[in-house]
Amino acid sequence: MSSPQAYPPGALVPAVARKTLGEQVVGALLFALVAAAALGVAWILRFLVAPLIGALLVTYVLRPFADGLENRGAPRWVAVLACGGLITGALVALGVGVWPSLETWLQQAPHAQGERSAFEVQLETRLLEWQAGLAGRYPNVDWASLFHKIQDVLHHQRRSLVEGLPALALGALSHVGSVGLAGVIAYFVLLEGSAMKNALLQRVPNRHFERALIMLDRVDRQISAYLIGTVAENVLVTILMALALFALGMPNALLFAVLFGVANVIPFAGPFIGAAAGLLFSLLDPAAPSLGALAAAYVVVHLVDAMFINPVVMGRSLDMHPMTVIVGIAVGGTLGGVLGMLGIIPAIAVGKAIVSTVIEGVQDAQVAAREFKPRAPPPPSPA
Amino acid sequence: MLETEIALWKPPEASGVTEDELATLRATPLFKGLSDGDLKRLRKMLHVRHFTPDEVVFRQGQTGAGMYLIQQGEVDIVMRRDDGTEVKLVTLKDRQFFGELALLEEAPRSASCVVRKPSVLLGIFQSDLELLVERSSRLGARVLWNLARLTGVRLRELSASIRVDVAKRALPEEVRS
Repeated sequence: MSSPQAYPPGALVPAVARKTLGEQVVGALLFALVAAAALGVAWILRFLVAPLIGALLVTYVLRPFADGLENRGAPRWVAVLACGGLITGALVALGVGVWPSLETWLQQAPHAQGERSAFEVQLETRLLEWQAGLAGRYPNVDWASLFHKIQDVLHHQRRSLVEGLPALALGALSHVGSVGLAGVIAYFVLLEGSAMKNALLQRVPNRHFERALIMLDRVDRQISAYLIGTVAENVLVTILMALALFALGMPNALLFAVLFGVANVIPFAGPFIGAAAGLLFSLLDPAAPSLGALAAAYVVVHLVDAMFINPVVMGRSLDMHPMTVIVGIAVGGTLGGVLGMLGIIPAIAVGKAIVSTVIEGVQDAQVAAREFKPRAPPPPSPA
Repeated sequence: MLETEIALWKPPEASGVTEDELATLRATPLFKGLSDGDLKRLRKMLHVRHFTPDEVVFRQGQTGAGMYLIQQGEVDIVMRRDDGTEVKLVTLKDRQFFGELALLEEAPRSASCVVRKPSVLLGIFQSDLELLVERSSRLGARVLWNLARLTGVRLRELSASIRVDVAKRALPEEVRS
C-alpha cells in the first residue's frame, strides 16, 4: 500500500518518500525471506537450469534471424519455426560430417575385457619407438622406468574409460529430454518473449519501473551482443580451421576443427585447449601431418581470429578490461571448470550492467531529492 | 479455445486491444499515418501503467527511457529552476503525450511529471522502438519519421519562445512589468 505523498510547503512535486529505520529493517527482512524462498524453489527446480540456459542460448542466437524473417513479412510463428529448422539442419549436417570419425573410433574401441583397441596398440608402438630413440640418444637416463609409468597411467585411463562408457551413454540419453525441453522453451520465448518481458515488468511498482526497464534492456543487450558475437566468431574460426586441416591432410579434420571452434569460446586459454587435442593426435597417428605444420596452422588461424575476426565481429560486444577477463576466467575455472570459464564472461557483463544501472538509480535519486526552495516573497515596494 | 482448456501461458495481448486504447494511439502525432492493424500491433509493445493521484511518473534529472501517452487521467509537468523553485509548465489530459525526447537518448528528464487524477498511461520506450524497427522496419521508419517531425516542431516552439523572451528582456523595465 502506498503512503500518502508529502509535499514540501509550496512545492508542486511530492518529496521523495524516506523510509524510517523500522520500515527499512522490515523491508530488508521481507527481501531476505523472498530471496531465500526463491533460492529454495530454484534448488527444487534445479533440473530445469540446464534446459533453461540452453533455451536462452538458442533464443539469443536465433532471435535476429527470426526478427529478420518477420521483417520480410513472415508471420512470427513461421519465422521461429524456420529458424528452429535451420539450426536443427545445421546440427544434423555437422553430426553427419563428424560421425565417420567417431564411428571409426568406436569401431576401434575394445569389445571385451582385456582386449586392446587398435588405437592403444598404435599408441604403445609409438611409445616404444620413442623409448628406443631416447634410450639410444641418452643412455644414462632410466627411460624404461619412466615409460613403464606412462604405460600404467594409460592402462588405468583405458580401464576407467571402458568401465565408464555405459554410464556415459546413459548420461547422454538422459540429456535428450533436456535438449527437447530446451527447444520447446526456446520456441515459446522466441514467439512471446517481448510479451513475457512486458508481463514481468507489469509487476514492478511505478517508482522502479523505468529503472527496471533500463536494467533489463542493458542486460539483454550485453548477453545478446556477447552470444551472437561469440557464435559468429567461432563458426568462422571453425570453418577456417577445417579448411586449413583439410589442406594439410589431417585425419578427422572436421572433428578437430569443431573441437578447436568450441574450445575457442573460452578467452585466452581456449585456443591452447583446442589445439592440444589435434597436436596430441598428430603425435600418435602416423597419417597425421607433422607437428610443426599443424602447430603453424593453429597459430595462423588463431592470429587471423585475434587480428581480424574478433575485432570486427566482437567490436560491438563487451566493454571489458583484459585484466577483468583474465581474473574472471581464473575464478570461473576454479568454481565451475570449463563450463565456469565459458559462463563467467557473460555473467560479469550482466553483473556490470546491473551494478551500473543501480548506481545510476542512486545518483538519479540524489538529484531528484534536492531540497525544494520556495520562492522568496518579493521585497516590499517603497511606499 | 474450449472453456475447459487450461492456458499455461496467456500473453497480455490475448485479451485484445480496446477501442479506447486505439483511440489514444490514433490521436497521438507519433503514430500519425498508421493503419488500425499497425496500431494494434504497436499496442502489443506498449506498457500499460496505472497511477494514483500525487504519484510521480518521473522526476526531473532522472535518466529517461521513453514517452507516455495519457489514455485516461491528468498529469502536471513541473520544472524545477536552478534556484530550486518549481513552476508548472502544463497540465496534460486524455490522448495527450509527454517525454518523447527520451525515445531518442537516455538523457536526464528536463521536468518532473506528477499525476493529478487517477490515470492510465501507455509507455513506449527505446527498447520497444528498437524492437519495432527490427521486426517491422516499415512501421518503425514511419514512427521514427513522425518522431523527427515532432522534434522539429518542438525545436521551432522553443526557438519562438526564446525569441519572445529575448525581446521581453530588451524592453525597458516599466514596459515589461
